[in-house]
Amino acid sequence: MKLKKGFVLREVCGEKVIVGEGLETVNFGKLISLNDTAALLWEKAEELGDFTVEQLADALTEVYEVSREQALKDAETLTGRWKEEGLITPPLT
Amino acid sequence: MRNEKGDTLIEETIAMLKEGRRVVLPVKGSSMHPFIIGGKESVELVSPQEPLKVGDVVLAWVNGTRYVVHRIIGIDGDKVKLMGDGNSIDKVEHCQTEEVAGVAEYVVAPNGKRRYLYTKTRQRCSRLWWKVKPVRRWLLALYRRTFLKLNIHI
Repeated sequence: MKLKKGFVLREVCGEKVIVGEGLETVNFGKLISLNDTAALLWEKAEELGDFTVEQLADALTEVYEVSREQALKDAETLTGRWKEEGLITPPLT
Repeated sequence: MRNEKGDTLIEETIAMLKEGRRVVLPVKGSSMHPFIIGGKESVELVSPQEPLKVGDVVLAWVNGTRYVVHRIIGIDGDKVKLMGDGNSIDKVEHCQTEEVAGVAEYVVAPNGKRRYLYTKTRQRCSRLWWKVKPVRRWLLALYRRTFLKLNIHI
């Protein structure tokens, strides 16, 4: 899967949020804010371009002391949320 | 809506307006009843493009003390007078044209539905609302007890 083009991580009011950079309107009532872990994964996903849940889980285990199982679960939950928010293009399968 | 200087949300809003973006900013308070329901609705702002007009709802730094989203009630050269629609007594605020950071074009409801603030009907309503200023207090009290509870706006 891939992050949709035009969405970027930006710091607003000291919080990391996803802003549609290509979009003209910024809605402060509906910003998608990311905690540190989510922001890390967003950056990783950006770096990878085409990424999988497994790759994100790898990134988590590299930085945090979590089990592979937990990391997979967290990465899956997060990408699931991004899908719901329409931030992700699903893989072509 | 009132905010002190140093409110980062307002500062971010102003920075983004300067970049030429539209910004949807949630508003607080009852000072724009019955046109905007603070606490529930937001305003969609743009950087001022054309000369400001009486009747425009704007984000402005007023009286050198705070930011408000209120309606322009008078313009004299660079001097702008504002007042909230939901303010019953003559709470007039003052600012300079350059202190107007944005013009509200739409009100955005929680479900995302937008309504243009300056349709002919709404402009007529806002002029009428200005004329009934002496009795606004009672009309607002009635509005807040009835229509507001049903989420009805103008």
